[in-house]
This record gives sequence, structure tokens and C-alpha cells, in this order.
Amino acid sequence: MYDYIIIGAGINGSFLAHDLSKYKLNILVIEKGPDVATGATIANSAIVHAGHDPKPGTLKAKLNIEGNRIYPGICKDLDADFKYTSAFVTATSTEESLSIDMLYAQAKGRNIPCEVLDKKQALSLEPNLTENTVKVLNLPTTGIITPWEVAFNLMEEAIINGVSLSLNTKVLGIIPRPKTCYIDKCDSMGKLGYEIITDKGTFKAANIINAAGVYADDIYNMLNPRDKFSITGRKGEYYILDKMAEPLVSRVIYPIPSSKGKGVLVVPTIHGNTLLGPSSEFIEDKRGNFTDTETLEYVKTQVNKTVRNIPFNKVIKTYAGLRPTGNTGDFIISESYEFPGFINVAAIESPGLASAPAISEYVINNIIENQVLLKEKKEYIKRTKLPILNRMSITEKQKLWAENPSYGNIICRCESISEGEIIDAIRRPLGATTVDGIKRRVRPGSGRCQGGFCQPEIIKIISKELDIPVTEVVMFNKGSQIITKGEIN
Amino acid sequence: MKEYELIIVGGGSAGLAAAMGAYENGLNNILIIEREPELGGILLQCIHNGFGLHMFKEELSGPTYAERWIRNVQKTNINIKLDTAVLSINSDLTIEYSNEEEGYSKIKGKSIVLAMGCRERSRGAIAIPGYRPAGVLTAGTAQKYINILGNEIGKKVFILGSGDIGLIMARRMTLEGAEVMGVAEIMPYSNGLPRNVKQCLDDFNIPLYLSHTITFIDGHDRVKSITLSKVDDNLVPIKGTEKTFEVDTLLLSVGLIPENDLSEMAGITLEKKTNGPIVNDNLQTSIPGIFACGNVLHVHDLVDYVSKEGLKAGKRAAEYVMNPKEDYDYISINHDSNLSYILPNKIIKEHEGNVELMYRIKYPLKKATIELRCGNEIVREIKKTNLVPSIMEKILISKALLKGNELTIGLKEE
Amino acid sequence: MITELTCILCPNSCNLIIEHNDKNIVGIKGNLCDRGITYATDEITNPMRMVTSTIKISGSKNKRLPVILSKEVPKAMIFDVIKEIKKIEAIAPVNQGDVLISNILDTGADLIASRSISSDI
Repeated sequence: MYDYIIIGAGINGSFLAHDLSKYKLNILVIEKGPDVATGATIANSAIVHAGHDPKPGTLKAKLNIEGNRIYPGICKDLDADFKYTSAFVTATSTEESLSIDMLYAQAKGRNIPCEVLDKKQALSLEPNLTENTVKVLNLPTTGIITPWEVAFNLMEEAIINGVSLSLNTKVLGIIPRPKTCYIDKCDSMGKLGYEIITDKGTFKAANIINAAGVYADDIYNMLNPRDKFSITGRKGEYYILDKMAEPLVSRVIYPIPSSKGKGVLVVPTIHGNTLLGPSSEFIEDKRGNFTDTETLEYVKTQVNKTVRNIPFNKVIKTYAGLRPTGNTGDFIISESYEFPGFINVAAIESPGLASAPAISEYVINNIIENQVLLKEKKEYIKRTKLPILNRMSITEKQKLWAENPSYGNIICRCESISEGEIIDAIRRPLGATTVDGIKRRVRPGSGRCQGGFCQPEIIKIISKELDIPVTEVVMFNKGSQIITKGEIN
Repeated sequence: MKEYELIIVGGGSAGLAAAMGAYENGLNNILIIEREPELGGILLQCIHNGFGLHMFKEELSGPTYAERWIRNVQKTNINIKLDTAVLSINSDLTIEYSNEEEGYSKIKGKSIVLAMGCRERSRGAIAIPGYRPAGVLTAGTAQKYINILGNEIGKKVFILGSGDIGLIMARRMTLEGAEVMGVAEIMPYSNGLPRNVKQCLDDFNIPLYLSHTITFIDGHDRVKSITLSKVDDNLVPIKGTEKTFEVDTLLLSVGLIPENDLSEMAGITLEKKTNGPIVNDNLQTSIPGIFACGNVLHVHDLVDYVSKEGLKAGKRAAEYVMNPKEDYDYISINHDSNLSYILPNKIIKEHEGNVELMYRIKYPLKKATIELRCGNEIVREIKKTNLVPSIMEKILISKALLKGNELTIGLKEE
Repeated sequence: MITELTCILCPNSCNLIIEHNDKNIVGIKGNLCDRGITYATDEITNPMRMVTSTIKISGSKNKRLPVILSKEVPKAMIFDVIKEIKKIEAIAPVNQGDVLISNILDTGADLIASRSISSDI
């Protein structure tokens, strides 16, 4: 019987697994996808927002501000990238300027470093802002991360410290034991429990953390609670631009936010690409992460309002993903009253990524501490840092090569990634088992050739390392094989 | 730091020819750096014939054509590094490379020839809507799986793009037992050689859907189906014309892009229209001593011309090493908007003899007159018939006819 | 019957209209030159094609050997030729031009190696 079963290995499940792994608790994470971070965690703009725009009094506001504060330290500790890029909220009309003033006041009230810049100042810092720029709000504490990298490193450290992870595991039903326990809050120290039925077997836990993203309502509804909430998938479509000698922008560029959300952004990424997006449409099908022409055109039109000279001929990829929008207007982070021990961490849409470390702290300090006795482990094992050769000097690279010549064999030319690094990505505790998993961990397939040159090599390496035939190497889920027959006649 | 007289980046058809061109013009210390385990470049996977008609007066397969050049190189003292990736080219003509045998090293050249070839335009780059399942491959990558690795990559196929690579793969996959359900081409005309349309599609009753494009890819894990739509004169899909094909594979043959990220990192100026370096008639780029040839300069149709260009680049590199000259007076070359591009971008004024210009037309024309103008004066008129964008055209003009500082190539449609 | 063909011999790409009774040509229209007549006649009466493929090769780092016919064979025999090709495998070393199958299916064409592959011993 587990102390906690966490449903969902996205950024929130990963933070919780990691933070709880510091304590003497028996923890299992269940994830229906083939890897950590397959849902909203890979379908956002990768921004650690300053915390300037969530509505006052919401958990969104509180936890975003806190998350922004603690992210850099956490990333450093995990050896994950974090970069302060600063951000501009740009007004392109006098009407929009009023919103700048409002946001400025709100940010100032939250002690968020900010200043208003006029058109001239703004354009001198970001020459590709449009001529229509009237004034901007500068938010220097805005940062960018690689969300899945943070999730991988968190979960990996959690696993090293005893957390179990079951991937490709779909929750089919949840049964509370004892069956009847409603209004009276039971002493949940071992008195109340849950059985989670999955397609890989049944697991027992004293407590459950529901961090299941767009499926969080479906998961909670398995208990048939009276206080149901609903999650709707909100699709966001993006363009990714190639790396460029002259970056288009060096800051995150926000338009004036609307009721639809933060709007369509222009965002530099950690690896030097530029994101354009997201759009925002509610969609019924929770698996509906397909792109469509009208929406992509909409994204184009919107970004052209804030930034000019966007080189659309440098698009290397488009994609779509769903973020979980709840029906309450805020994060839903609470222990179920009807089902003690069942914690919902749901509706974590923007600024969910930026809030994630604070969400975990909040859950632990406000809910978990009341459920169990938290005893810190005496020894905590840190994960091993892995080398990234394209960031090293030639002398450093040569040293690594001397220990392991496969670090000299470049497999992904677009991103300069060696065979050694790809093998590291498979052999690490939370190792890649799919082509997409390699891409997320070490980049091959993310570059301008989109795997055109390196994919056959990646498949060969996975096949060799995992000792499976090439016909069993998949892109992502089971059924996404690339090679249909290993050897033609 | 080890120094060479000439370092050639890429050992495919362009690089091999550049090496021979330099060697035959007196260079003794040449290095070819190639990232694959063998020389030959893309020719090794082009197992069909049609190569060498101009160069050898024979119709050879890609591998056979490559082997001729490789044998010639092997007979010389030209140095070769295989399985070696160039990581950077610098404006001081140093190059950082890496391989398993030596690790990471830096070398210097008195001259450099860029011969990196091109890459294929990806699905993402043309933003085909839909899901992102496995089973979507560019035609060249599929060709590598099948011809080099011997893997089967699908059984029921649709192809987008009627350029030669798409057509060749339609035939190749059919011969390997796949069912090719059709080839879609967004333009109202095929981009490939008529011979290939005949022998790759007609021969196998594979339908060619002109003025069509793919407007949806379905399938969460592996391709389940593609949706084909007709397009209007503005190439915009027409609602209501959608047709769905149940396939497990979509091959893309939607364009080749010269692979110049290394060139850009070196600070070499690129021409927007070709995505290749701006060059003078010595094939020298904006950095003295660095030359370019083959698909990295502009995408070719005939490997014979790639070899010719390579030989020239090698020769000019050798001349540069013997007599490095940096400053030239130029005649700049411009073109009217109905031409896609013209190469070279400028001609050295003091050159004598003939100048060879290469261009592509933007859209097909049955009859047209090419006009070469210096200032307001027309110095040459050439009548042309059956011009198509998929065939690179050449003009040979005597340098003596050119006057002033500018040459403009115009096209008068008839 | 009428068959329409695009001539592939030169960039004019003439649209040829051929009237014929099965393999007997009655009339040809649309050609700008006589080569078009020869092409049309050949294509109707006895179309020939080149076939290229790959076969498995062992004893080398290379996995496939590209192969080509020494001359064209009747178009109707393409798939039978492929079937024959698939019956054989090569062992390195192989030299470009080596005959792998002599007079394949009695067509007079040999199957030859498109390239050399050395053994990895």
C-alpha cells in the first residue's frame, strides 16, 4: 500500500513526486502516456511568468508570484536551464495603453519589478516590435525554461530516491475503501484508503494526488463525488521558428491580455528557437491535439500585430496541445471533503507552469502536512549531471571523448549531439525509450531537418541499447513504429 | 594547428569534383571531410539511372557515377576523413570537426570549398495540418531507409510533391510491394521530368493529382489517413473538394533547401532567393578563400552540372591559394522578377573569355526571350522555348559584350 | 483504339495521339519530329524499361547492394524481374559491374552490381 499515488506525470506530478521523495513516504506515480510530460507540460509557451496578470485573490496570482521567485534556484539544483529574458507587454493602440497602466499598478502592488517604457525606448531594445507600438510594460523577472527537461530531472531524482513510476498505465477506476465514508472527516492515517484499478493492475494507496491534466475531472468523477468540477481542453497551436543568426526578439512579447487569456505570444526558447502562439479554442475531444489552417493563420495575424519582420519562411514545425481549463476560473487545489485523502491538483492552466514549484509547496504545506507525518530522509541522493557537449569548450569536449570515444561521434548535425549523449539519455535512470523521448532529452529531431538525417541512426541506437528489433522502436506511443519491416528481401 | 591548402566540407558529388579540380590545378594538400561512413553523398542512395549523360555520355546509376569520382580521388594523395562532422567554419578559415577516432579538433585551410549539399523541407516547415503521427517521412529519408538500410517504412503510401524524388520513390516503393495510392502536386503542372512521370507513375497506374494538396493528416500514433483537397488559382484549398485516402505512410517531396547553417555561422552572406551563398564568377563567397559549389550553392537537377561546378570551384580555390587576391571590381548581376534567381551574383571585371550564368524561371513559359541588359542597352537576346522552373538553364556570354557595372537579366514573355 | 502519350524525348513534350489495333499502329498525330514517331511506335508495340533495385549483402558494413540491368527489358516483365532479383543475395567483396544474374529471365539483360562493396574482414 502506497502512502501516495500521484496520477499524472506532468510538471505538477513531477514536482510533487520530487518534493515528497524527500520524506519517508512510499510513493507511486501513474502515467498513461509513454513518458513523463506528454500533456499540457509540452503544450505551453515555456515561460515562467512574472505574475503580473492573474486576477487578484486567486491561487493563480499567489502561486505564480511564488513560483517565479523560487524557479531559478530549483532549476540550478536540478541542473535544468533557466534564463531570465525579461518580457514586454505591448500596447499597440491608445486604448490598449490603459491596460498597460492597469497591469503596471497591479504588478507594482505585488512587488514585481516592472517599468513602463515608451515607444522609442521599447524599439531601441526590441527593434522588431511593430511601428504601432505605443508603450510597453517591461517585466525583467520573466524567465524561460524547457518544461519537460524540468519534469524529467524532477522525476528522475524522485525515482533515484525511491519513488516508483508506472508509465503506459491508464487509470480505469478508483474505489475508496472503506466504501462508505462521507461527511465525517476520517483520520486518514491508514484508516482510509483507495484502490486504483489500471490496465496494468490494481494499486492501493492511503492517499491520492490527482494531477491528471485535462483528464483530472474524469479521474475525480470515477469516485462519483457530489462536488464535481469540469475540465475542458483548451487547444493552443504554435509555430516554431528555426534558430537564426539575428534573433527576432530577445524578450517574451505579450500582447494585451484578454478574456481568452494571455494572447498570442512571440517567445524565444532556451535552445534559440522562437515560438509563435498559442491560439486558444475550447475543444471537446481531449485527444484533439491536431493543427488546422484557420487557427494557424489566426496565430500569424495576431503575432504580426505586435512584432514585425517575422520570418515565416523559417518555420520548422507547427504543433498543437491542450491545456486544462477548469470551470472555476482558478486552479483547483484542495483535498476532497467527501473523499478525504484525495487531493485534486487540477485546472492547472496558465500560469500553471510558472506556479508549479509553488503548487507543490502549497499542497505539501497546506494539505499533506495535515494528512501524514512528514519525516525527512537523512540521505537524499542527487541525480547525476549529464554532459551537454555543444556547450563545452573544445578542451572539455576532448577530455570527455578521451574517456568515451562515442562522445566524438556526432549523430545530430543540426544540434551537434553526439552518440555518447544519446546513449546517456537512454541509460539514465529516467531513460528515453522512444524516438520522441530522445528528442526531448537531448534534441535530435528538434532541429531544422526535423530528424530527416538523424532518425535512422536514432532508431538504430535505441534498438541496440534496449535490445529490441528496429520494428519495435516507436516514435511515441505503442503503435507509432517508424519501420514496418526490419529487412526487405 | 594542422593546416591544409584546401579543406572541402562534404564528400558528395560536389566535394569530390572540387577535390579533383583543385588537385588537377596543382594543389597537393587537400582534405575532404565527410560525415557519412563513405564518400558519395546522396548519390549512394539514388540507385536509379539517369546520371552521367553529359559527363560520361552514359546513363549510370547514382552509385556507379559516384564510384567513378571516388576511384579518381583514391588514385591521388587527397586526404579523406570519414564519419567526421564539421561543427563550425570560421571566417579565419579554421574549421572545428569531430569524429570518434580523433575526438574534437581544429584545423586551418588556405582555402575552403563548401559542398554540404542540401536538406529536405519538412512537414513542419509547410505546416500540413493534422496530427503528428509516425509514418510521415520526407522522400529522401524514406529512400535512405529502403535503399541503404533495407528497411520497409510503410505499405500503403501517398506522396505529396511531384518533384523527381517523389516520383522516383513512388516507383521504388511500388517495386518493393507497397501500394502507392497517388501523388499530389499543388501546382497545375508536375515538377519532375516527363520521363519520370511516365516511368514512375503512368507505368504503374499511380494517379497524379495536379492542383491538389494535403489538408489533413489523421492518426494519433501512426498515419491512419490523409485528406486531399483541390486548390484554386491562388493555391488555396477549396472547401468541399476533400477526399480521404486510408494510408499508413505519407512521403513528402516538397522542396530542397541548401544546407548553409555552417556558412551562416561563419558570417558568409547568403542570397535570400536561393538560400545559398552569394558568389562571384569564381564561385567565391563573401569571405575570400571560401568557395561554394553544388546543392549548397543552389539546388541542381543534373549531377553532371554539380560535378562541373565542383571542378570549377576546386580550380578557383587552387588559383586562390597560389595567388590570394581579395579586392575585385565587379559587374553586379540583377534579374527581373519572373526569374527565380541568377548565379553568379557578380562578375569580376578583369575576367576575360566567357561567363556562364545559371538561372531558373519562376513559372513555366512556352515561349520567351531572355534579354541581357547593361544599363539601357540590350547586349544579347536569346529566344527560348519550354522553360520550366524545375530545369536550371544556362547562358554563356562573352565577357567582352558586358559594359558598365551592372548586368540585368530580363525575361520577355510571349 | 486511341492511346494518348506525352513524348519524353525532348522538352517539347509533344502530346502524341496514337490510333492502333492492339500492337498494330494505324496512325500517329501530334509529333513535331520523326523521333516522336519512333518513340510512339516503340511505346505501343514493345515498351522497354530499365529496372534497378537492391539486394541483401553480407560480409560488409553495408547492408544493401544496389543493382542494375545491363540493358532495358520489356515493361511487362518488370515485376517478374524484381521477383528474380529478390531471390539472390550477395557476399562481399563485390566489384561494380560484377554480373550477379546472367541473362535474367531470358531477356538478354544481365543483373550487375551498381557499385563495389569491400568486405569488412
